[in-house]
Amino acid sequence: MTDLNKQFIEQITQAKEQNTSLHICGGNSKSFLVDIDKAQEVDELSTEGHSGIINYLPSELTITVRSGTPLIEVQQALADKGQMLPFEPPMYDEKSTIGGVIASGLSGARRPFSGSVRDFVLGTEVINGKAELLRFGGEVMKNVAGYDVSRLMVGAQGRLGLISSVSLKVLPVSEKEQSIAIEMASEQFFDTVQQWMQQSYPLSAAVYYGEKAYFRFSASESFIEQIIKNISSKFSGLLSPVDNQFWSQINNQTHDFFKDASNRNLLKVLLPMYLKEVFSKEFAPKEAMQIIDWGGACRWLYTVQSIESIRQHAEIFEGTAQVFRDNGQYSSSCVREHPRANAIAQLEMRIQQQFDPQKIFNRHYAN
Amino acid sequence: MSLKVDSWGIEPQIKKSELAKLFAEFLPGNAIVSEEEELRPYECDGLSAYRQLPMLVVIPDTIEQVQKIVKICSKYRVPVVSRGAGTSLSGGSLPLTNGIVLSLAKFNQVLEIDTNNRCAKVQAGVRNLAISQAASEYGLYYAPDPSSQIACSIGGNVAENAGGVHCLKYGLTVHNILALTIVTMDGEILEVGGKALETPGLDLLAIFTGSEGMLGIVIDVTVKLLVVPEKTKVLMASFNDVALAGEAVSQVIAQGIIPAGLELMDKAAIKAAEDFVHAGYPLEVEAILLCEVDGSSVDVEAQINKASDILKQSGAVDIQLAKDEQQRQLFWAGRKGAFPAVGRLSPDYYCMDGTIPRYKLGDILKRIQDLSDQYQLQVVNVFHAGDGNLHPLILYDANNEGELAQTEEMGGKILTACVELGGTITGEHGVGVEKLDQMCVQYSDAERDQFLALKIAFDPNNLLNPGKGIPQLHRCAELGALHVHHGQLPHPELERF
Ligand SMILES: Cc1cc2nc3c(=O)[nH]c(=O)nc-3n(C[C@H](O)[C@H](O)[C@H](O)COP(=O)(O)OP(=O)(O)OC[C@H]3O[C@@H](n4cnc5c(N)ncnc54)[C@H](O)[C@@H]3O)c2cc1C
Repeated sequence: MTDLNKQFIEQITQAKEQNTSLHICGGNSKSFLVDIDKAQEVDELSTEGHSGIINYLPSELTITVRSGTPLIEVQQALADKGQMLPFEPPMYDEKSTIGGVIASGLSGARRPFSGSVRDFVLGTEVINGKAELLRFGGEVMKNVAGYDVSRLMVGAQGRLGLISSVSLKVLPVSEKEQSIAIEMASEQFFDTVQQWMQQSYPLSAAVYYGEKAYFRFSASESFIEQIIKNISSKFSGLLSPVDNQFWSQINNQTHDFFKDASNRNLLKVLLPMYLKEVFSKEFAPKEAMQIIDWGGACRWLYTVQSIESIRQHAEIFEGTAQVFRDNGQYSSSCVREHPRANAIAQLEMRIQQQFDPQKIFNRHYAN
Repeated sequence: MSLKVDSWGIEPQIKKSELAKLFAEFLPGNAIVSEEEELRPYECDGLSAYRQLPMLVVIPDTIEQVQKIVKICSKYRVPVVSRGAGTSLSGGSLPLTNGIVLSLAKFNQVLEIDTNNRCAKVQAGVRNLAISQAASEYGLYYAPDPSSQIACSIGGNVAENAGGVHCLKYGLTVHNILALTIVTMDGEILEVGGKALETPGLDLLAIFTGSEGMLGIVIDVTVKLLVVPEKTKVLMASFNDVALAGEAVSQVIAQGIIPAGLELMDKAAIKAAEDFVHAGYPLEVEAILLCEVDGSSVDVEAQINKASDILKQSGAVDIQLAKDEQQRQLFWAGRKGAFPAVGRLSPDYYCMDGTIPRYKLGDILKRIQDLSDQYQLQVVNVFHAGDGNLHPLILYDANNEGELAQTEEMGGKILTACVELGGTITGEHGVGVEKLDQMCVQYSDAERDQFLALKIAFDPNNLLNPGKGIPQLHRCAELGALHVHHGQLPHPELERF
């Protein structure tokens, strides 16, 4: 339980005065997500040790945490009270911090059914490039005073400043969670997700991999019992139980599928959920391997197709493709993130400029 | 009434008649309003204590026209106030005398309903309720339901991050939109977000939501649609003590129930609503809670029983379950009609919009009562209790000299109390012109400065709704550093005076 804000402000002030650049890092579990320009000299600003739960009020469904707090600690504290982070953030490494969760904005399998990281952010305390400690939002559910800077920090990857602490909305864990796998063709997976969502089935995860669809339900015991009964009669003989552990393997990328990431490039393709008609042709040619996550809205993909052609396909459907894990093949020749329209890219630069005029936090980012 | 809009010293470089002439080159005659009596309907929004006429009102119907309008305004430094339905309660769409009003009334088409991805693309001027009406044939609806939903536009909802009685479970506008088409002040089109659940880069969707027309003009919105729940039940719990009702709210949520809506009304609100819509509310009690649960039949049954037990244990003296859909609608009609109902009690009322952590409900109620006694002004309380969002309505008569000023002063103190209790000055109505002073209470100089800087990234010449939302630094300095900030004692930061 230490607060290192004073130290951070000193370090940023010094960087300002000496015109040096700082790389913010938490547990370093997601450092593979940003490409650093090695030509730039950069010092580290670590949130390690800046940890502790500042305020947790289970009856209010809110928790406020220092950014250097390990994610695992936050999850434990919530689990003790029967609550959870509803966006199911991935934990690639046990050192993963809550600050990194917010800055990367990554959500797990529950995301399409309960919301993303930013949906649950209520407030942040931030230190900007002028070394000013600022608070936006708060611990209340609703706040429309001023611009929503707290949510802007989510996924900004430290480009706008240091997240010092964050207040999040949390939710109670369901009475029961049960997972099943059903053998089916991928087309049928999309239709099944649609049908079940239309029927308000309590889906909390839906993944397709290796000729099987995996579903998780979260609800009361009696409702789940009823659902499983319905499904069993419809898919009799094709159903098998699945350990809930399966979802952390998907979220944390410890599932066998992700082992290949050590020698191939792993793409993350975000699409509208229901794109059945183009699914196999455009995104998963025969030689490709993929996990369809988020009920269809997120695809983890290994492919020999060029990133450009994948991006072109994705754009037709308002989708994007990111080189999520890269083995050096791509980063030299193309942009890791899906390129933004020029007007948007310019606007993002101007926003960065207003938070960090001297480019202390992002000078060293490649691209 | 003197106006509290900050003057940014913006002087348009063009006369009204010349500006109208430039617009007439591409807008039909009926899309340019310039005569005084025709401008009158635009002189105020839902905060009608403030009124003033703009130079002109323009009512374009294509995105190209909007682009041309803002390019001309940029060139001649003419401020632009976007306007949806004009129901803002904070003066957000109040015209500026040196600017134009850009009405989105003609952007009124539902462009697409994508049933597979459960979303709809609609133009900014489409009314909130019209979206759910258009989606209903597919068994879908748009969740955020401000009480003004028959009138207010989705563009205005985005600009204010509007909420409603069902936001406790389903979230605010920001949680229910996927994409925006924006025209910036230099006439550029931005496509923000998309049908995919996320897009890379900074979360511009979030920053535009709730930005009160100060960062860009919303042209169309892709909203999420939800499946109409299989079953919905509402119960009404009566209490002999408002604070007890407040505690009951925390109890329900603490025990793992997330109701679709959880609303509190005090005795005066109950009476006003009952006289107005005859909802069958009990008149002898001090407070009622409306608690709605929705979902699958099995879950709803179990949850409504559990909620009922918790409310009883928390001191409810009576619990009534709406026996059918008609009675359920009637219970809500009373709540949703609470503002107009109060309007019948008093010549004028002033609607506040603070938020507090739920468990401080009892504290804030006491503070409000003390202020009511001190100022001798009656207060009627209606709360989105589940969200900790209060709507105290202060009753006054503008014809009594000084009473509006007294009311505003008291309202300001209620909002300050909200900040002191760990809350905020506005949960859903926005800052507009109304809460500029309270922005000095909630945020430090550096924080407000960061807001102003952010605006520059979008609108470098400060022509979009200037003077609203974020106070100038010297305004706060002039107000004096007499306020409490984040619970700390006053600290006079006057370096920018
Ligand atoms: C009786 C009553 C009940 C209400 N109940 C609720 C409630 O329950 N919850 C709630 O949240 N609010 C409520 N409101 C407030 C109001 O209805 C909302 O703020 C609503 O979102 C405003 O929508 P509008 O179309 O009327 O916007 P306007 O009043 O026209 O404009 C509001 C703001 O949005 C900007 N704006 C409007 N359209 C655009 C656009 N296309 N692009 C950019 N900026 C734009 C304007 O410049 C202005 O700053 C209530 C109001 C009334 C009168």
